[in-house]
Amino acid sequence: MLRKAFHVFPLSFSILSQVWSTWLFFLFGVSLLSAQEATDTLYQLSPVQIEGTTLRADDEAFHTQTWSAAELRAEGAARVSDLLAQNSGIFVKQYGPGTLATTSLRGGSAGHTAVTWNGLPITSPMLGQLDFSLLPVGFVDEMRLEYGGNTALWGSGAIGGTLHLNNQVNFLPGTQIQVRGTMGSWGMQDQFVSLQAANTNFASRSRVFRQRSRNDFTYQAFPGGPIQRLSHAGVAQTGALQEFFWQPKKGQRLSLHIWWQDVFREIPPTLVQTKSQATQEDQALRISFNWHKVLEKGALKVRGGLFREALNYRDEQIRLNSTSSFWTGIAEVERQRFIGKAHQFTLGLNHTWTQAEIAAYQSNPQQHSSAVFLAHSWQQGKWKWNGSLRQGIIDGNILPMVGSGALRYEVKPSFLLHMQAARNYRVPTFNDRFWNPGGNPDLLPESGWSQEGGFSWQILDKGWKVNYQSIVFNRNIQNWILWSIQEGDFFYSANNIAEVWSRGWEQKLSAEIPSSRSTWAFSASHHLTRSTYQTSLSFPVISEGDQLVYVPVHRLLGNLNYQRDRWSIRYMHQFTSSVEALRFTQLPSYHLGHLRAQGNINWRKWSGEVFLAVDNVWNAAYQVIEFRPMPGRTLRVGVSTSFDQANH
Amino acid sequence: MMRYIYLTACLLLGATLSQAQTLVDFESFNVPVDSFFNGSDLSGGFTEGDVFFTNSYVPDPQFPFWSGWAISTKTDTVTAGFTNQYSAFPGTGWDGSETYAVAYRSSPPRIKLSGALQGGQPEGVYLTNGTYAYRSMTEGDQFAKKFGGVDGNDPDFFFVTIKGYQDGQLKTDSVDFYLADFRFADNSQDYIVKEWTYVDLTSLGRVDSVEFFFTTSDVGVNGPNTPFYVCVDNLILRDNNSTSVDVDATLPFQLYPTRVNDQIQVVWEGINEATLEIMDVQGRVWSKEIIRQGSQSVYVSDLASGLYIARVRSGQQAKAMKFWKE
Repeated sequence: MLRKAFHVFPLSFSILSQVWSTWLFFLFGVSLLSAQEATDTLYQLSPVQIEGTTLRADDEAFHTQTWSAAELRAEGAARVSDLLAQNSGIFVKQYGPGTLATTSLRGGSAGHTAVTWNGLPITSPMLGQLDFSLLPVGFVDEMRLEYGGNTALWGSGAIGGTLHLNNQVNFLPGTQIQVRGTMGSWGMQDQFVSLQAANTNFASRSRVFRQRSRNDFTYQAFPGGPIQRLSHAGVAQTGALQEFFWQPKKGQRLSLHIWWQDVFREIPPTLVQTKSQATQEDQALRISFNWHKVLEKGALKVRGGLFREALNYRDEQIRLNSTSSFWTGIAEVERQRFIGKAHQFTLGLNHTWTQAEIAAYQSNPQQHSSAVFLAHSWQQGKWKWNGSLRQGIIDGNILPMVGSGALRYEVKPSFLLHMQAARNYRVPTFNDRFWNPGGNPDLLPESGWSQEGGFSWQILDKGWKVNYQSIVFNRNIQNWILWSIQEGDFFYSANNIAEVWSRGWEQKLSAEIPSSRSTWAFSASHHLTRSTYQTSLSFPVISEGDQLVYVPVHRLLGNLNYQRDRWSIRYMHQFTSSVEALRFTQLPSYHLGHLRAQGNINWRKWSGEVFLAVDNVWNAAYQVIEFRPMPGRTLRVGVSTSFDQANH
Repeated sequence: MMRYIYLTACLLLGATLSQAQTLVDFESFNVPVDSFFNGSDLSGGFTEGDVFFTNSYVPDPQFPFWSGWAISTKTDTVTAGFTNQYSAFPGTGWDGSETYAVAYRSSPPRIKLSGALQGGQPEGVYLTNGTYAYRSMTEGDQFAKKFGGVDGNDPDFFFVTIKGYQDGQLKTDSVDFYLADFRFADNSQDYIVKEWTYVDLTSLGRVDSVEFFFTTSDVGVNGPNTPFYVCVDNLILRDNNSTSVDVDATLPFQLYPTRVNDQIQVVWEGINEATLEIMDVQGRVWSKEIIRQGSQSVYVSDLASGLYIARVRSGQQAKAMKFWKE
């Protein structure tokens, strides 16, 4: 069935073939080169790790979650959406594995989570959001999720939080190979290959992945109803990431990243739809480069990107064939400067050009936006301060100046206090501005203030490590953009008509108890989020105080991990409270359990890993989106092997 | 021509049809076969004689947007979705005619009467679902639900309310016509209209404009999900100088039960005799008799299963009630 993807889109296949052959060239060409280099290179050089595009040095986020490359691999998730849904406070709105996945973070909309790749935003300018299921975990070496807005540093849309996807490399001379294969229920297959060839100054890494899934899981639409099988739900993803890293001289790093991806998805029918023939194909080509130079009292960073994405939505049933695409070009320069021992300043300039094409726009609109941002951090004794300011301009229109300030006080090394205030915004998307009819070129940015405060506490005793973190937040956003029919109109249009108040409490408790051969680790977190409209509207039907649709008030995550020697077993449990759906109904709350066991083996330069994962262990019947059944108990089995020439 | 004769015959049997009538069957618009007019000439509507059908149109080379009324000869009964928004589900106009009208939600689709028809009385009209709405309610789509819901028991409905105005004032009576009704306890009786169905408009009385309002059970925060379309043909109007039958909902006429096998019980408390007609929803009169004050049984066992209208007329006033023959 999924082969259909390449019948329907022969162009995809030809592009795939080209990419494949190009990849082979890089893979083996560089590999041979590297092998020659390696024979001339001594191994005594200590590995140097590049942080491809470091996060801004002045980033003041207090509540963060970071996954290293090893941790990402250990999660065993194929897509970022799956990983976040199981392991973070983000509520991922999705109707099955690999399907469209949007997010709500701290009660924000899907457009309020900014996503960067090597420091550059990759959200769609047309929709103002990103489909998280299109992000393969295997293409990420470090992932960092920041809770809380910081538009001043990360630009439009960083209101609920920011997800950073970064690529890193080590310059270990020699060849590193990683091959991974996973099979699972409902025809799930995932293959991943990574090959790195490096010497002390240059590294080339190629990664490809291929994921397939029929997603034809069974479900019971209602209690006592027949067991049915989901149809027309297949997903086929293919992608390649080619990277070059170069250290021309001490203190300088250059990197080039080329990410190509094609995703074909069948869109299954809802529970109140007899059949579906809709399909969607997303193609993306993202190229970014980074240059980082260490200066005497600071650093200079230059980064740029050119992104092209295209989407083809087809539905034979309704004879619809819609295509859209956009180009985005980004250039950014950032200068860091230390003054004395306590102060660090960063001055940055960003220019972004975007052009979009879709039939519903009367033209192919372009947008030029520029921004200057300034950040300052200061640390003295037990105090630490971070502040930032951003002034942007879009097509000659000056945006509101936004800023952020965070203060941290170390009561004692194990006890930190934190408070932060920020003003953030999200500029209207291309659809909001140019869709015909209803696009409104005069829309104002959604904007508002947020505040947060909290503390973290750590206890270290006899090898035990216990952490507790608690944060409360508050955010008011004005000029919230909604599509509605206005008085006198007979079509939907985008308008700044709502105000939303979000507030909440986030807590996390974690503990690690090691013994001679084993380690117990435990964590539990609670995310309480109230996000309510502060205005009543007759259309859309909103009453003051209503919780936003698809924003759960409670999310509880629990994690228990036992590791002994080379084996580990982990159980994750999550509870999501009921959510308001679009038809004035409430989707029931649900509990989900996930189990994962894995073992590792090392032999000389080789290492291997095998894992078994059971998702939805308790076979819960639940819906994240109204009328969209979710899969029951799902098994995955995976094997991976790595070869590292530098290993001794 | 035969169609007109048949229709006229039905109406002669069913009401006071000796008056001057206007039949709007949309054939005079000469819409090419399998095509439509959706107001792209920006004229703001369509005129047939003294009848004007309003239209709003947003010109755009790629996605023109219209609302109100369109005139159509589309015949596609298969394709679902908004790309097939101009087709009537029966595939033709009433009785196989080529041309019909499509009303799509605006604020709202309006028919304005002028000249001899201004202040006249709408007699009746044929309505049916468009293919888009029919397919959406039958099969569901990415936005709207299949009627009956997940287990087939949702009491879904989709109806159009026809309201009349005279001198700018909304008339008290209106006509509801269910294009789909899934509220029956017995799911086998749930239906989605797929044939042209006659709707009696006499209860509107004298009007100078008529508007169509849509109501569906499938509503969300962002408004209705069911496609708001209805197809219209053979609108029959009586002139303003005709002697009309005024509908009076307060006429002392009652009917029970509303679901029957053999007979209905009618209660007429008027002093004078009245005429009782049993009509089907196509407007065909199946029986006609005189009733006197008091309660009496009317046998309907010979009627086929379906929805019927019992209309009582006393002088120039009338009242109609519906019942379901099992």
